[in-house]
Amino acid sequence: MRSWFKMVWPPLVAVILFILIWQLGTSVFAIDKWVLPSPSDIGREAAADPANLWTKTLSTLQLTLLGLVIGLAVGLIIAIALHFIPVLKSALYPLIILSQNIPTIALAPLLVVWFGFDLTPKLIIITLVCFFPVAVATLDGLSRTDHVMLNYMRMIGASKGQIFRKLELPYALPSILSGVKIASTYSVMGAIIAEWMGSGSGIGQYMMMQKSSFRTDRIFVAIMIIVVMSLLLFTLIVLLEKWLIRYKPDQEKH
Amino acid sequence: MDKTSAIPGTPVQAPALEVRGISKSFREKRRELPVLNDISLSVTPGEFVSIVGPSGSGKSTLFHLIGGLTEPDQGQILLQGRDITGQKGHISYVPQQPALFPWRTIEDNVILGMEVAGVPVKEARAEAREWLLRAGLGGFETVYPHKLSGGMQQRASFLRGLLSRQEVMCLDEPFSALDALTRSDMQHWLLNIWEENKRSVLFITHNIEEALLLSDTVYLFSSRPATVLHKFQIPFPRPRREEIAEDPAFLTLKRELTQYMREEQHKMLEGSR
Repeated sequence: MRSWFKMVWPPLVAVILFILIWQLGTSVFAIDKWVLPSPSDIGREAAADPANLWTKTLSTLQLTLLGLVIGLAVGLIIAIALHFIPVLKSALYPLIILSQNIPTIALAPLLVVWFGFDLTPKLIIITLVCFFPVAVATLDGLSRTDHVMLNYMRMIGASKGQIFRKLELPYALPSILSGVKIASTYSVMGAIIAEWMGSGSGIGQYMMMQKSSFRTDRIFVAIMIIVVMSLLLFTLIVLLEKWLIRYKPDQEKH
Repeated sequence: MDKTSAIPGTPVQAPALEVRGISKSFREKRRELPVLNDISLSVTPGEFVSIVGPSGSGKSTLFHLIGGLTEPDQGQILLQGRDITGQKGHISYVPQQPALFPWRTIEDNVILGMEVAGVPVKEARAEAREWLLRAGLGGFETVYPHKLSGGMQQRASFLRGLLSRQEVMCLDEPFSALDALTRSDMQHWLLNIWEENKRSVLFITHNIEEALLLSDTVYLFSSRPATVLHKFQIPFPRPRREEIAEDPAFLTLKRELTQYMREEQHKMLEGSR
């Protein structure tokens, strides 16, 4: 408990200090509210219409989670397929890396042209940003399986499937989960970008509307909601990790 | 028949495992590097056979060949007279490092060999629990491996091999990573467990005393490329006790083997110069 406290208080103090300086700065220099609202302005705005914000948050959260699940599934399937078929891996792995050089925002208008304004293009965008970290982390974890353990399994006549289920997959699990952590934060970003494409009823679309009416305070409220959502999702994955990896892997031995 | 069974003192019985004229070389930078040269040896049912040789003499390569991970350039591996050259899954294996799966409890680790062979989990667990108790690991069934000392991990690894359904067990220097005291402890532990449950064992070590204490037969390997230099029958009766290490006959045999080993190490050093 003490050590937890020691770990938490420095960033906490930093955040409080930051907010204080922000608050003082806006009043001392008399900065216009539409340029930079003070933290108290933002807080007041957030409290003004919580029901409306809540519905929008839920809508974005729903989209995020759905996209994240699809992205994770696609990433895992790609990684496992490439792992089992080495030819496929050497053919496609460079292309997958290359695909990350295409900015997702640039794809958004294309996807709207192809799929319209409903759910499909949004899910495709989230999937595109989420599958990559998961696929790479999974492939990496699978290829780093302990050699002695692998030899043991092969010696005693374990089949490819048995080796995968009983050794490679559990061995790669910590690596996979660190990919999932990254994907979870990307998924929120993906959802917001997807909502910027125009339609929908989430936080992203709310942001666009506030931008056109120079409601900077509301944009900050939206940013705050996005940050909290990302953090919550991240925490959820960390808890999942704690539960899945109950043993303590000893790193120094390998 | 073949040269190993021609040596007097070998029991006349179909060998559990027979290695016939195995040769193997690896390619390294376009050069053939011979590792094993015409190795023949046999393990009769219930026999404890050790291979002693200088480190780097290709003993582990022999295990990989027996285990079917690689194929020999020449020769055959027979299990109860059946050719199993290049086939996996016919032997049970205890590697040098314990190689327990960190996400499995000790009990789940011990049943792994049976699980892979398709033994129902309930049955495997019951058997594992009984043996863990007998092996001095009672109370550690649901503990993860990292909580155990090196010696205890190696015990669990040995049990995993022992409970596997294959008749022949191959042990690849299982105690080499342990400190001297734990090592001697483990040798006596292994002696007791093995004498209770006589499996056919092929044991690799570079420790002569260990080989003499545990084995019925000791094969002495030369340095690379490895050949069988000598085959010793170890005459001491079973069950063996620790005191046997002070027996004059034991010491004579130990001196003789040590002399051979030293000559071999010497040759290897000169060869590498």
